[in-house]
Parts: sequence; structure tokens; C-alpha cells
Amino acid sequence: MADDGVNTKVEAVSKATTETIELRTEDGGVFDVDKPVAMEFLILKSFYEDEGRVFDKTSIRLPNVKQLELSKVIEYCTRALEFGAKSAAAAGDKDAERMVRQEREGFEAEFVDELSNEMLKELILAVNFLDIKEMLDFLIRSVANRIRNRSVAYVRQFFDIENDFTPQEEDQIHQENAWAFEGVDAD
Amino acid sequence: MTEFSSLSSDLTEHILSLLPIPTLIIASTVCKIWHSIISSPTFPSASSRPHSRPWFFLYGLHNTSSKNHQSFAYDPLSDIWFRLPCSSFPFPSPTSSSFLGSHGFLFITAPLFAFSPILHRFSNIFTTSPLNYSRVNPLLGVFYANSDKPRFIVVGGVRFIGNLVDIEERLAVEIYDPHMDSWEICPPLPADFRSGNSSSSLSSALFGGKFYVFGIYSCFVSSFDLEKRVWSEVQTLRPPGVIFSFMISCRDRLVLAGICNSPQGSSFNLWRIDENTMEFSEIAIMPQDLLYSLFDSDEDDKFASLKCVGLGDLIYVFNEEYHKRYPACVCEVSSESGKCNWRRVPRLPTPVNKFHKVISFCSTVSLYNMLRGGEEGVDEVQAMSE
Repeated sequence: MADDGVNTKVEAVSKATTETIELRTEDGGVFDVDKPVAMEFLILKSFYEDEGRVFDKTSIRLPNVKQLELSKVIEYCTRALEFGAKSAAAAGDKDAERMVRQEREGFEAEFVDELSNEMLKELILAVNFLDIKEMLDFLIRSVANRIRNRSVAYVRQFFDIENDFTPQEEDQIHQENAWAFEGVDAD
Repeated sequence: MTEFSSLSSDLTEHILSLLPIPTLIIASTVCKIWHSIISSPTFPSASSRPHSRPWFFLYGLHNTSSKNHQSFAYDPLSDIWFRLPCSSFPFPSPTSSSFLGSHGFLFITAPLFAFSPILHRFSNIFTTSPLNYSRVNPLLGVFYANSDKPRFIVVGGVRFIGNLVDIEERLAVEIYDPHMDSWEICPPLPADFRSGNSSSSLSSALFGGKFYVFGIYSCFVSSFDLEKRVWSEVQTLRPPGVIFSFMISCRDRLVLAGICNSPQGSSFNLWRIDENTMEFSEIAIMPQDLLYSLFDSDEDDKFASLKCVGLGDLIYVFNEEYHKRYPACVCEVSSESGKCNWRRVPRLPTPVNKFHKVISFCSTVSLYNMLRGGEEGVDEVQAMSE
């Protein structure tokens, strides 16, 4: 069922005059998304461009996306567009550029900090489906940061991968470069 | 949740390509598919990217017992020191006290000339035919000219004749031809450079097809053209106030790094050197607190134990004194913005023994060699002889 709290939040963001499009998630969420933000989702953009449609307030179902993920995606893309605009406005002014960059880095750090490993994975799947390159790059970097210097067990669990090495095979690879296994953070 | 395990191989490879090499070695044991992605020769790991962040190696030799030798490697991407195994000292004692490292190999130059790849899956030793003039402590460079086999250039050093050391002779430069397994004799280092314990009073850098030799205290510089086999005229390269400095070959520029005295005090500076004119322009100064954090005492000659090595986008500065466990810092030189970022290198993992000699150098490492090195037909180092 539609979550009124989320709906209200999204509608508050879009101004009265901005064109919006309605997106429906597979678990019943309904979002009114600003056109510029929605066009960041290449899967939607190509839909409108290929079909030669006029952008009107139709409702689109997103079968592979849940409402929690979509609200996060909308949050990120909206801020990304804002930062893009601020960056363009600051062009040429090194101090201003640096401030925008730091502000963006601060937002991204906070954004990813709040994500559990599960949420991070779900977001990657959603963003991959929606085809949002910039956000996908950001999420991929975040995953890399989470697994860097971690143990094999942690990485397997993170990606939900079964070990198909025999103990002897795994041991041999381990022996050849044993030094690399000593730097891991505790699980 | 289960869908994540069937993440497309493109996405998986993208995530993996961002990881530092030690994490990749661990990741290669996650499952067979990951092992084959990561150990593929075309895998875009950090070592194959244009932004080069070479590792910093520190080999410590103990004078009474080789069991107390230790070696460490710092990976700037992981920002961690790794303790290397005993096999990282491939050469048997007592010759092992005189080796050097460069471009992915460890070398000994006397009584035999031999080399061994660093952090290779197998620590093989390759011996070449002997140098015409066997020597210890030379300057050494590795280059690949029209060849997939490494060529070596050996400059200076001290003559080694059956355990006797002769400091009078100016030794010829020798260049190794891997196809003929022979050493070509070339004109020796110009006389302006004092011969003797070359590696401690001279620094060298391979850049733009030339082997530069620079006197750390004398500030003399000359370059050997690897193709034409001639030395350039000797010049003096001393920015104002420089006490001693090192020449470093960075990714796209020649850099001079050293201690500079001014009325305000001492500082550690970096200058970019124009390779044609030898003109210098200052590009960075190490933050004062970082410089002083490398020292314990306040003696006048404390800077004398500073050493500096670098390659690619990184310059490492460290204190060769045992007292604070060889503190070091690293500067990342960014060629796009021209900015330099300094930061401390973390402390060496304990225990750190007391060494009578420390051999330190910078080198890129190859993930491929760690995982697949030595396999038939794909080894990047060809065995010369056994």
C-alpha cells in the first residue's frame, strides 16, 4: 500500500510547476518524481526517447524495485543534480569548487554510512536495473571500501557466495601468498 | 538477497578492480570464478592503471644471524605494511648482505650477477653470465627496450675481486643483453663523481630513455643515453639552500627531493626538474610537523639518516635510524592538479628487530605474478640459466 509519509516527502520536494512522473514500485509504493531526476534513470529516459512519447504524467511500474530502495535512489539523484548545478555555478572559483566538493563528499559519506550491507546490495541491484551510471559507480566504490582488507569469510558472506574450492586447493593458494592474509581486519 | 550472488560478471569485475592487491589475493580464494577473473592477464587491477602507486619495500639485515632478517612491504592503496616471508631473502648468505631492489626484482652483483622477482609466486633465482667487472654497491636500472625481457644497466660500484675491494678504478658501465646473455661495456661514470660506495652517495633515476646519476651531497648530475651509450656533460643541480637531495623518476617528471636550509629553518622540498635544461622549479614542501615527527632527537645531524625513494606518483621519505622503527611518510604527486598530498605511513608491525643494514626501495608489484607467475609460457621473466 502507498506509504503516505513517503509520498508527502517526495511531493514536497517537487515544485508546483515542475513536471513529475508517477513511479510505482513492486511492493505498492507510489512516488511522484521530478522529471529531471527521473531522466537520470536511463531506463526511463530511453523509454521516452525511443517511443517518441511526449512526457506526460503517466504512471510507470518498476517491477524490480521496492519502495525503500526507490526513495533512497530519488534522494541521491536529487542531491546529485543539486551538486551538479552548484558545481557549474562555482566553475572558475577554486574555493567555491572545493566547498561544493567537500559538501558532496560529506553527503555521500553520510548517505552510505546509514546503509546496511543488505541495503547496499539491494540498492546496487535496483540502480543497475534503473541504469543510473553515476550512482552505480558510487555504490560500487562503497562496496569495494566495505570489503577491502576483509577476510575471505566476510567477503563470501557479503556476496552470498559458496566456496567451491577443496580445502587443499584453497590451502595451496593461501600458502603461495600467505603474507597477504595477515593484514585483514577482524571480522 | 540471493540475487546478489548472481551479480553480473561485469559488475563483479568492476567492484574487484577497485580493490588493493592484498585484498584481491584474498578475494581470489572466495570461489573458482573469482579466482579466474582476478588472475586473468587482462584483469584491470590497480597495478595496471596509469596512476601508479608503487609499494615501498624495507629489508632489514641482522649482522649476526640471518634468522633475524626481516622484510616488509607497504601497499599505499591498503595503507598497510605486510610482513614478508623468509623466502623474500632469496640469496644465500653471506652474499645476501649486498643486494639491491629495483623494478620488481632483487639483485646481487657479486660474486655472481643474479636476480629474483619480488613477490612472485615462486622465488626463483636467475643467474646471468658474470659481469665483466664484478662489483658491489653499484647503481642499477631496469629497462625494456624493444624487448619483453628486462635489460639491466649497472653503473659504478666498487671492484670486487675475490673478497678484496679496490676503490681506485672507475668501472665501466655495463648493459645486459638478455638475448645474448652478455654484458656490453660502455663508458664509465664521469670522473667528477667520486667512485666508492656508490649507492650511499649517489642516487639514480631512469627517465625518458636516460639513466640519470645524481650526487646526493655533491649535487653533480649527468645522464647516460641508453640508446646512444654516451654520458651527458656533468652539471651541478643545487637549488638554493639544498644540503642533500635525491633524484627521483616520477610518472611524467623528474623530481629532486631533499633537505633545504633557509633562515626560517630546515625543510624537505620537492622540485620538478626539466630533463633538457636541468632547470628546477619548486613543487612542494613537506609540512613541518610531519618532517619533525620523523625524528626523535634534536641533534644537528639528525637529517643525515633521511632517505628518499620514489616512482610513479609517489615519493617516500623515511628515517633510516632504528630508534623510532623507521618512520616514514609518503607524498602523492598529482600531475593533473600539480598538488602534492603528504601523509604519514603507518608504523611497522611489531616486532621490528634491530638491523645493521637496511635496504629500501620503491617498486611496482604484479598481481599476475603473485597468482600465476611461473606457469609455462606466461612468465614475464625468462630463465637465463640455472
